[in-house]
Amino acid sequence: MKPNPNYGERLKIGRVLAAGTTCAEPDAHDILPAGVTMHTARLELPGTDPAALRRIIDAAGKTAALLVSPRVGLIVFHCTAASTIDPDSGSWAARRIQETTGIPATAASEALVAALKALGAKKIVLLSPYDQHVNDPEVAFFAHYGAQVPEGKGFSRPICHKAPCSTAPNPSA
Amino acid sequence: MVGWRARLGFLIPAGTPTVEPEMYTMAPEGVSVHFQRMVARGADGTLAGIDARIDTQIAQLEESAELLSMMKPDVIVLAHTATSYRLGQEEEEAIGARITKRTGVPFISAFGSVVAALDRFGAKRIALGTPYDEKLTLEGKKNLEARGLEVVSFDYLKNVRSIFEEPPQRVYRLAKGVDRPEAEAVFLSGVGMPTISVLGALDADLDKPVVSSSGAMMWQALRVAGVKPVIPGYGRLFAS
Repeated sequence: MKPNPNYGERLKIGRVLAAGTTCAEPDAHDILPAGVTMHTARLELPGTDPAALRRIIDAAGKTAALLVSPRVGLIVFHCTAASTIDPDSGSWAARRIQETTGIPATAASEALVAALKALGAKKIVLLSPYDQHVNDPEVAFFAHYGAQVPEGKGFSRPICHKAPCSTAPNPSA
Repeated sequence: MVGWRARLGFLIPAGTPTVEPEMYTMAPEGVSVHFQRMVARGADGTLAGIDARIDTQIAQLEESAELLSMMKPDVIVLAHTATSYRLGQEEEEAIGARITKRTGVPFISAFGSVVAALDRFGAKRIALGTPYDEKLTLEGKKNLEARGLEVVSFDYLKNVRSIFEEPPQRVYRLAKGVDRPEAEAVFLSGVGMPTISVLGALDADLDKPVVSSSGAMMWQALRVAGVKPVIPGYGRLFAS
């Protein structure tokens, strides 16, 4: 007999995801505690240049409006590349979401800073699927929050709006 | 779980909090489930404003499907039975064909999946249970009849505050209440109504196929994606 679903009796978490992501939903679902559910709203990631990443920060509020009616208790802006493009871009997206929806919001970037603080990590190695032009602002982001990145290595995979995410490194990288 | 076997994409009403946990729970090994909320105006989970919500969902369906298609699913599922009732078979198939042409992904609907599931058992005489009012329930009956099925009995839940909060025992009793000896299958309409936790028990207790919108769409989505829909615990539709 398969387990019965839980219906988010403890907490329903809404997430704003880049439309092309294939990993975010299954990965998060695998580690959810009992009584906590995840709910998705997707937005288009039109590219990975800084201007495109900043544009989706602005679009986050409108997409998050889809998460008001399922009565989620929290909304997460879940795009790491966009939320670390500037030191405060994730927090800005979270503010936009909160203003639009009236629901508490946070961002991947805030979660990363909090996690590194909790671990007391001041020097980290960065592995990413991104191109270097996305890695560089992320390295600067971590430095801004007190974590040095002596080495940052990207697989140079396109962010998943163009090709599906994969955990396998790009052989040509 | 990474979808190394198949990825299923669902277009769900913005307000539903039940479809995602039900699909995550049912998904077999190696099958991942992904969602996009359809833009809808009006209060959710209640019948007030459902017409307006359906209108917006239909108007924006192709755009919603395009966003969902960016994660390259093996199938796109319209997960809202009442939208299918409004569209009717012909219009739904036309929209589905446009979506497939635009995205390259096969398109199915929860209601189309229900019809396929009933056909799988050769069931022609159906008992219908819904979370709707009488008007929308009759629209469901009409759609079943348009597909060549006979509705021998129907009923709907009374005093529904939000269909998403209907407890399993109410759904169980609804199904038992509409069943008749001459019914060859019971159909529980409404993707948002939580059903999957009672499907196995109903199938055993009524000793006939019990098909819900949510269960049927998972079954059909797996078939379209090339995955054998064997999942123990949800009745004979998912038996080997």
